[in-house]
Amino acid sequence: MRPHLWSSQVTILAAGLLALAGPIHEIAAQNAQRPEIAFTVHRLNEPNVEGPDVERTYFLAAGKRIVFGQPKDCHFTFNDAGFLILPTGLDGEIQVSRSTFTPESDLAENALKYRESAAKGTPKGATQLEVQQPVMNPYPYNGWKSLGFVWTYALSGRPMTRTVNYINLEVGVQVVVTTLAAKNDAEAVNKIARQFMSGWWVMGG
Amino acid sequence: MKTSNNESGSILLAVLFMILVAMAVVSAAHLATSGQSILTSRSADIDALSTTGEGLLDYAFGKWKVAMDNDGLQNATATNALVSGSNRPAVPARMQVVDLSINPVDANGDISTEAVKTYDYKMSFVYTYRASVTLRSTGVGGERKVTLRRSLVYTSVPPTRGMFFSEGNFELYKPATMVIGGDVHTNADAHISTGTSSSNLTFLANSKVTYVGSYDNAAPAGATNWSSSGTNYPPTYAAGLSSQVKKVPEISGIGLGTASEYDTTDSNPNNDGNRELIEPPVAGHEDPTSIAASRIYNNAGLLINVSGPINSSMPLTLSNGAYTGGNISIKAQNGTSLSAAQAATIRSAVTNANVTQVQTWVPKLVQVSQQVWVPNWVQVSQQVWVSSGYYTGSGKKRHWVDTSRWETQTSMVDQGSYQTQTTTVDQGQYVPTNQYVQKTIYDKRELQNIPITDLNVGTITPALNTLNGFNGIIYMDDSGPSDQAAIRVTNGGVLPTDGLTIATEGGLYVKGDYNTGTTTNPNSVPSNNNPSPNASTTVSGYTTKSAALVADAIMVLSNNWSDSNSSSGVSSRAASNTTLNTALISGYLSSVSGGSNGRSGYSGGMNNFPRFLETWSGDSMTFSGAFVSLYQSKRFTGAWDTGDIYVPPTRYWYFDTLLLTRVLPGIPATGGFVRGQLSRL
Repeated sequence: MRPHLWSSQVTILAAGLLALAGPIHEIAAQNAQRPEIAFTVHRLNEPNVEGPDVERTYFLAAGKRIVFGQPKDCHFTFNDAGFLILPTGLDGEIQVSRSTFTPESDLAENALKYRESAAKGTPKGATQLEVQQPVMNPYPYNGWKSLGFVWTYALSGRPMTRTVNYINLEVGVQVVVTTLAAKNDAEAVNKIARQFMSGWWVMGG
Repeated sequence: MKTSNNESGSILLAVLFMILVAMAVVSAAHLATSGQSILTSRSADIDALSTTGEGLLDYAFGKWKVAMDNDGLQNATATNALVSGSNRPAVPARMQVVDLSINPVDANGDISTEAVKTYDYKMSFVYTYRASVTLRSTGVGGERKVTLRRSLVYTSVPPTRGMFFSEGNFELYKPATMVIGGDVHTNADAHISTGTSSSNLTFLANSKVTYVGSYDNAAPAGATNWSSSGTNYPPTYAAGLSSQVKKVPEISGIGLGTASEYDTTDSNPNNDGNRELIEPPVAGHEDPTSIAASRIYNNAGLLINVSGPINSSMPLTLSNGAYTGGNISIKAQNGTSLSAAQAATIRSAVTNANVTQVQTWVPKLVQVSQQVWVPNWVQVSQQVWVSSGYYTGSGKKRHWVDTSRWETQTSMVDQGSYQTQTTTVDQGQYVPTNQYVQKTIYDKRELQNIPITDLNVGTITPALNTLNGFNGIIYMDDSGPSDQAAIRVTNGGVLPTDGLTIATEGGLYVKGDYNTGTTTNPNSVPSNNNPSPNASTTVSGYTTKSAALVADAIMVLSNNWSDSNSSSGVSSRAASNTTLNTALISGYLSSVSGGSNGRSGYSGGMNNFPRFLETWSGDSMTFSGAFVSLYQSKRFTGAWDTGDIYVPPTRYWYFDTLLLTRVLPGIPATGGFVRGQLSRL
């Protein structure tokens, strides 16, 4: 589908959107029964808790409306396969996409399988590749379970940090948050990713 | 015409008489004119003396105010030194200052050598001084002397003497229906509006709104990001805006002499503002005397510190005045005496540990051998037959000339081979283990798991009632690694006889009824059983105790709160009717023009000062006490405005009029200086 733009200043990173498009086929091939996640953004007005109407933005997962908010000072784009967030002034990006796994694949028991899958996104030509120990629950929000991996490497001489985080949402689906950033900006980019994810909530949940 | 001698004599007498009368009139006129001149001169001189005298009293007020602000209460010697000798200002040359003095006076108006605390009819502590000046000058008709007096009044007002005291802006923007029955004061601006109709937000006739900056019905910063629809209606003032809304001087500080010490630009972390009230002093830096005197940490009778999951099986040992053991330290101070048995009882009221399954990564570094193709490009020369040729001639003479030949060609050929390479790979695994860890609850507003320590007030109250010298103040903190650790007050239906203030630098959750008179049956509290505007907030026969909860932020959890649902959706966190009878002293968030992640930036207003985390639909939160917002929250700064944090209760919020006459343990007063009435003697 045609990507929507949420800001007139949005720039689309072709690489990012291509990466987002990737998992769709894997999902279709691996498990047709998986609960559907569609990152297409919808809006609605609903009465706020104190009374007045407020606008909510949401996407659909497992038939539930997952409400989220746009990160401040970021370019935000989406398509059906995921979100791409480009923090302004930082050398990095954040992708949120479907997972090739399901929550039934226990994060702790299958840590090596998750790592193997996550490692596939490491760019060819990376040198000085190092992988750190897995991190349990890097996204400790809303009772979610999550598992994260961190790679550092050099690409064309630039030190980079890449994180891949598998998150089991409370609605019974798994998403992947991938951050890719120059080493110096990695902490800031990861912070934005955590803040973005922490604000998700299930409408009517 | 001829006259007789007798007639001539009469005429002479008449003339003489007229001359005498004329002289008398002239003399009288002279005398009258001369007196008026003297009187006019005297009046002007006295006016000048009075004007100068008032100026001297204003000067005295300024000197006294600065001295009080900087150095606290002043005795007679100190105040008189402010206006004597070289401190006494010059007056016009023809005037002389006979006396200029400032003296403390008692409740009867008699001069005292020391400052005397008195009380106004019910509101506050008052320290009154009398500035007096006598001026003299000379002029036509003699000396003129004027004596003027003015009362100088320092009024010390506990911030709990009104429904809501706010150091920052007082904001109400389109709240759910509210009725406010108590005074509201802000040291900044007041932005008050309602989104449905004026009747949706009512200030009862007994509610005064006082502000220092400005007053309007405009949207606070960021509020229109949250909701821009509809109209901002002004609230309803039952007795009219002009009689209920007033601009007033600032009421500042957390005690006499504190405000003037504040400095956020220097390197001293102990003088940064009102939040010092809940902070312990930072060692190695000066702690200004006036601020130190207001710190609850310094004033508490009991200091309770936890540093990790509490292990009650560990012994408590007395060291440096504190009973310490199992990640808890309990120290008595300020005249409180504490036995080992009492310390053990208090520790039993403090819990924060859980046995939790923790996944721990156990690395397993293995050498992995794999066949890796190692290229070996070599240059190879070889003879290659190159076919070529051409036709020549035409017709029957046309024939093929073959020019084919052998040529030497050079190419690169990979003559590599597979080699075995060995790398180290971590093929570890997660191993679940049961660990003793600190309990957490998920706070949907902070979007964090909050390490929490429970203080069971029902357990600790009997111990506090028997604690010798206890002043009713507990300062409790969690010095563990998390910046967002919190204390949770539970089972607080019945408080110690002499009242209780619980303070912490971090967050404070209060779970269930507080100071209602029952710890077992919330429904025996009328305001829970049948919430209504006039329902009693205590069980029959219970008189509320002096109570204050003081923290960076205060979250109200209902009687129905369940930790296990804390991270679930808001509809899974169902509240129940709950009643609190206490002052809440806590931090505020300033409204900003734009938030992140879909948040508006609006603070949430007074209606979100006590923070909620449950679905209160159909449930009431009855509150009788005072809200005091003295400083900005530093640790609990989550925004209020997603739809997943709370659904508001029916708010039955009242000012507790008992607070007009009560002094809450450890709560300092904010102060104001007033120039009293001028009198001329």
